[in-house]
Amino acid sequence: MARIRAPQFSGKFYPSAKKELQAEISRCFSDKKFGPGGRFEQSDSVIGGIVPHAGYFYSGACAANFYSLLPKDKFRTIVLLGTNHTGKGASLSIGPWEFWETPLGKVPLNVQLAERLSDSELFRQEPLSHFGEHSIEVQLPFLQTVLDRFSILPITVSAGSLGSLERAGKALAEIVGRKKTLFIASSDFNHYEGRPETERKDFFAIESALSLSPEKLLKNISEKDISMCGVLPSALLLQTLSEFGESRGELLKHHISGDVLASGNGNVGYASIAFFRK
Amino acid sequence: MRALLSSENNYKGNYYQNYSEKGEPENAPEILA
Repeated sequence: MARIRAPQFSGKFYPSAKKELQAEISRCFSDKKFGPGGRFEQSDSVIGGIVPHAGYFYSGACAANFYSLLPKDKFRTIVLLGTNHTGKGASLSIGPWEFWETPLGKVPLNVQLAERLSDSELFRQEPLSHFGEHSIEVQLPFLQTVLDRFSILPITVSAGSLGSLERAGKALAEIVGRKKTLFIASSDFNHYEGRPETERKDFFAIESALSLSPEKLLKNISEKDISMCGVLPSALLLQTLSEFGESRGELLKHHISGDVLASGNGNVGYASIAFFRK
Repeated sequence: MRALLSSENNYKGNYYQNYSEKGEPENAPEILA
């Protein structure tokens, strides 16, 4: 296994040249319509979030709403719970590379915690689910921009009952803990429908996420036929946060792809949600 | 929370005004999600 995961989506979902990427991220943070409009209202109580993972053209500014909240020196470990779009590999898969590279530099894996999680036998370190998977990679340049020094636990979540997510959430809470840790789930919301349906379904999904109940989120996504690609990582995030006691969620921004570029009935919903310690 | 949903924020169409001068990316459909 190579020590370094080279970027697989630079030049596609985000610029491949360092200066262009920095300019694009700056645009996302300064965007007044979809982003935080240049405001950095850092929060000492933020413990997690749900952020979109489309190309920065579509959802980068939306994601920036969450990243603008992060104090630059508070977090040392970022748990990135990603979608598994390919369906390959383990159901709870930790990317095994020692470093994840982006045009902004290399991000280290928290090797010690990755090994301890693997010892729990719920998680596996394996590469397959991370090949051709962009949901974690596209978050890294934002983290590299707003944080000083950090390591990551990149985990794709692709299958599991409520019971298995409960076990995984308990393991994350016990082994990783919340001290200097930030938990991020990477997910877009409803996919490829017209505006009214997209907004209606996104509302149910967002409301469910804000309830902090993984059970309610999974139930509503299924019953309302919502195609939320990161429902499982989001449910695992909620389960993990619930292990830490009371928290509250806040919707920072929601828009759909048609707000950026008209696409008829092919809209995708994007939301930036933050969770705070109560 | 509803006030943040897009329709009620009057996001009604294609007006991504402050994107770079390059405009729409060539691979726009592939990076929707």
